[in-house]
Amino acid sequence: MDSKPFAEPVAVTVRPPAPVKIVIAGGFGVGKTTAVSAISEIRPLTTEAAITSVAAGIDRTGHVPSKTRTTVALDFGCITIDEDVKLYLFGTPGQDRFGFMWRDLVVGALGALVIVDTRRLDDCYPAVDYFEKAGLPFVIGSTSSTARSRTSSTTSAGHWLSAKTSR
Amino acid sequence: MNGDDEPLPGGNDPDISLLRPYLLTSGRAQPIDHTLEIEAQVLTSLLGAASHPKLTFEHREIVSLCRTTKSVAEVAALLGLHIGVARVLVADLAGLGYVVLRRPDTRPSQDLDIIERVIRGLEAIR
Repeated sequence: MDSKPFAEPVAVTVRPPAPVKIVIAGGFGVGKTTAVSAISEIRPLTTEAAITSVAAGIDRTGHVPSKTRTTVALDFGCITIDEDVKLYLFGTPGQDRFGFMWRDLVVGALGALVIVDTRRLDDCYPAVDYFEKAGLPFVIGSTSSTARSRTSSTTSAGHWLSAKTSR
Repeated sequence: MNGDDEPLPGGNDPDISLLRPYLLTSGRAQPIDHTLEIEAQVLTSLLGAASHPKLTFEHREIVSLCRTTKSVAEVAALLGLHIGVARVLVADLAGLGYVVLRRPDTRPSQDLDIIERVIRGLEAIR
């Protein structure tokens, strides 16, 4: 890059914002995408990410021989914080897969939010274990079928960051 | 720079593609800069805009899309590309000078200024 002095941005007056990110994790169907939607300024986007061959081996596609997909969906949204900072929210794949995808997500993250459904508490432990091992600060947010609202998602994220700063 | 010589009809269909994802990268699963983050910001350069007509279709689509800044993840989602493929292609384009990148600051989690700005930004939208 440095050897390409002619690589000026097409809009010279515009400098891309610095990206920061928060990872949102939790068990399958716990509301990660809902949480992303509640805060994102764009409709959450989905892309596909490969899982490792190791993970493919434990993929619970079971006995369905025609099922050969080895991808997982990655949901994300974003928020423009100010003119020079853009926050990305990445909802991790819900499956118990902690391959390259999670490593990519966690590196450089401000922190993580682990969403817990109190009826299925065990589902959150893989994410908690992973973030503890990775040394990534995280908070737990609990959902129930009646508590998923825009307000709760947004304020819990704000409260968490406030707590983290004052630590 | 190989991997940009595969004109593939139908390869940009996000729903049904008969192509294996990494065909677009000639099988390369790792970007030339393997540290390229999925949240890195991508903006087309003047050179990229000028070179647009002669680019291969998969590079051209990215150069067109990134006339306004997009993240690597958005490039993948909006063009129906596998995220790993998008990383490879964006890194190639950056290496050629067709896009400029804004990478995340290193160790942003240590940066109280950034965290406080994020808090203010989040509180502003509730």
